[in-house]
Amino acid sequence: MKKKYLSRTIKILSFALAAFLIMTVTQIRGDHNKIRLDGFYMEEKNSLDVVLLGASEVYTAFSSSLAYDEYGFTSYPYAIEANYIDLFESQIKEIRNNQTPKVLLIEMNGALYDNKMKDKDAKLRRFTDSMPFSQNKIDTVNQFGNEEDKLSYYFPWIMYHGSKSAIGRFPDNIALHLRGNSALKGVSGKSKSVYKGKVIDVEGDTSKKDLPAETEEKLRSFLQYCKDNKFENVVFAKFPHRITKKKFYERFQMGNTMGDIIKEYGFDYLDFENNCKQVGLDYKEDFYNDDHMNIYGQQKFTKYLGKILVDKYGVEKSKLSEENKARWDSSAEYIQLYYEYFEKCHKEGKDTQLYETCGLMWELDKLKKQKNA
Amino acid sequence: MNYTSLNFILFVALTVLVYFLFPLKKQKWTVLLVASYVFYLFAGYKYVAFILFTTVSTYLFALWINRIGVKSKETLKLNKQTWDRDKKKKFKNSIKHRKRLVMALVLLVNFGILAFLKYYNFFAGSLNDVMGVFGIGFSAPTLKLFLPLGISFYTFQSMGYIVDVYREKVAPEKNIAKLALFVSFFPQIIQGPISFYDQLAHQLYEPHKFDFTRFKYGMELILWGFFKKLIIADRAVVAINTVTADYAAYNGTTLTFTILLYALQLYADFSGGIDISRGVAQIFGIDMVDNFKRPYFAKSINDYWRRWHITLGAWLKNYLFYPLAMSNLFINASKKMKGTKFGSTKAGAHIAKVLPTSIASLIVFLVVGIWHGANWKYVAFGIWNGGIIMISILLKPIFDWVLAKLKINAQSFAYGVFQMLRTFLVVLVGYVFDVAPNFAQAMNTFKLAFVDQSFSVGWSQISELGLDKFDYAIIIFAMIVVFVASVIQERHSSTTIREMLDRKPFALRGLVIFAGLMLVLVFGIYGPGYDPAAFVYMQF
Repeated sequence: MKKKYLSRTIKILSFALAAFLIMTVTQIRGDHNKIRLDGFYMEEKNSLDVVLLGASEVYTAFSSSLAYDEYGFTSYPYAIEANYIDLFESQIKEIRNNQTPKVLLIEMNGALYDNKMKDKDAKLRRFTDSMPFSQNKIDTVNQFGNEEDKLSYYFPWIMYHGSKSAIGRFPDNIALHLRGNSALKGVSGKSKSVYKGKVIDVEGDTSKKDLPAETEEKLRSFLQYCKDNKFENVVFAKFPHRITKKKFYERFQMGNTMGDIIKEYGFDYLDFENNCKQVGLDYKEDFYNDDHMNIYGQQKFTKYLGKILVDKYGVEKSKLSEENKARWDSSAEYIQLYYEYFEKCHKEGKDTQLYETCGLMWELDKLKKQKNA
Repeated sequence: MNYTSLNFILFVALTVLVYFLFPLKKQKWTVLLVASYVFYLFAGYKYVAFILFTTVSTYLFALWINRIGVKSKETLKLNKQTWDRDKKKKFKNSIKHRKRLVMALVLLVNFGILAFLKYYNFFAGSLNDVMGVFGIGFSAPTLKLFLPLGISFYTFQSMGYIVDVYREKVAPEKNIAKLALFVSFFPQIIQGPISFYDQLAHQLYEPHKFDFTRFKYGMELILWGFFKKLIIADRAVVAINTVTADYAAYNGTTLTFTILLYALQLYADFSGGIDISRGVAQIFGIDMVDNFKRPYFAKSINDYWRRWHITLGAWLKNYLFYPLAMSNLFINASKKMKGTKFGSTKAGAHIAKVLPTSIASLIVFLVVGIWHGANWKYVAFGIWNGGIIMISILLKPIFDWVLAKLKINAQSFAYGVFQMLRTFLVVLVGYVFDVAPNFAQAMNTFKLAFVDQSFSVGWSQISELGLDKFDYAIIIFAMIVVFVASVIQERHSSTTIREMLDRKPFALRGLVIFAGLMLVLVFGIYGPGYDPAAFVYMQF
């Protein structure tokens, strides 16, 4: 009798476990944010020299694989689309729990977002969906998550089940986990150059505009947190944007004010917004929209920023384990294939956003084989 | 606590655990009682007073009715020798009258509460409209009333028990806590089924041992309920709500489509919910009567109402239809008609014969309509259904004559399909009153269905009802699954699909159940970002 009940219990539990596993693996929000952050957690512990924190400006402007290829240091963008300042503290904890980078570079555009921004929950989930279970995750969910939906932050399939992105894109994530590390180190890009309107020249412009009270309060609170925790390796930055509208010019001016406040707390602030020419960026050729560089701008900016990290902050060539070195070397190879593939697509008139999907990796491997043949 | 919420699943799991581990075997029912009141408290503490009042009044009045009966029997026994036949008859009549008076009192109070909470504002509004027409400056105030959870269901169930005690069909329950459980049993409180005391009560009080087969069947039934509710009903309701929110903006094609979708959504919602209720009860070892028997396979509207919301139909048949049809008033009217010149004709004899049942049917369906909601459109819904039944009873000889003349084989498959489609169409007409926001809009829908059909406009409107092609594909797939299961069940009415499945090898059985589970988990509407529709019949 006992044996019979044991067998039945095992059967029921196996059913439940199988269902749970299938849901966990397949019903996810499949996009570049998920791939990037999952990739971060797959990096060897304490192996990154630089971590870049921020929003979409980071992963479109900076390629870790290219920086490794050029300067030999390892880096990773801990960045998600429309990442906002409220989440930075939790994200720094995540970074510090996994890595001890020489430089933690924080792109601060997320501090200037409108406080009434929509879909804050969706933005939060881009972060929590990849967070492993930890006290930091519990605190983040408790602080920012919807009270009624808390369980769905720990079991994202409750949120994403049945959605087309969950059904169509989970193989990308499975492939990433099968590879064991991110081949393209979270980069995302477009080759298209879109130029509309007239660019407002902000080269050397130091004019300022006051920050809204709530924005300034959040900024100061975050800076105080960094100061109290003696984060000496933190560097703040504002990556290049193309300014064509008055609204964005005002944001640029607020950026200047923000720079002064950051310096007030004793931190370095690298403003790339008002020295795009020095970076070598061409507004017509190197941006795919006003906020984001395309892959041509990405290559220029990565090399420029990489040099600053080496020259100014003493980031050196990484000393990696053999296995990890092989991964980074492979990544450096992939990023060149990535840019080549973009060229090929561009010539064929195809222009989409490319990140580490199954389809892209299959194309890159094909290209690699062709080259090796 | 919605039946499809995680809280409910955890609540049921905990109750099952406590129930089967409860050490005092004879007192196991107290676990169900406590669970039922905890469940009810989750809906709001202010509701508890109403269910408690119904329970206490039902308990006391049932004992009172019984006491009158017992005492009268004792008196009769004592005076058996001394009283003559007339005196005995007189005494019996006076006792019957007293019992009926007590019963009427408790029915009046309980149905009065229900009617007041549910219909006061409707009647006040209607009265004010009438007064306005006649220019009388009287205005009945409207009140902010709330409807306690499941009030219709527990009122009907407890009042059925009162009538059964009055009819001496069942003995009154002496333990008020046990009666409280019968009134409040949590799996049925939200939307029924409305159970009869002699069918349910003893099952509630018996100590049930854990039975794996029952557990398995219960879980499978719950899964089937979730399949219908979460995949079909809660998906389709998005489009229906979009239309009802701006009803006048849609053309005849879209409204026709919405009514069809509503037929599917209502069935999936209500029968899905009932399956969940019955499945939960089955785990505890309690068999609740089924409320549905594949209603869209019905071959007449009468047949449809025997298959749809079966327990409400059975309640009304027992406690309203028969008392009406068998009443002296109706029987005498029938006899009177038979005695007339018209009554001596063939048609007259038929009409005189079926008059009591046809008028009783109309009244019953008027009640069904009003039970559905406080709005004139529901009155129309009742008249439509009752009227069709009345006409079909009265004109039956004519229909039979037409069939014979046209040499149609009434037993043929094709005629059966025709009957089903015909009945479904009649049902759909009834649903128009349900979906339309009011009576005038319902009438306009009938007009638009004929004069405003444009597939291109309809198609563009349908594609903007909040569902995309993917959703419609899922609905169609799930509908096919439900249809196939219904056909199988219709053909094998002596056994359930779960029993049939149980006879298959484990691998196949496991695959079917696992596929069902995965379909619910993947394609079910739940979690954040969705607003899962409450069960349609919860509002009753």
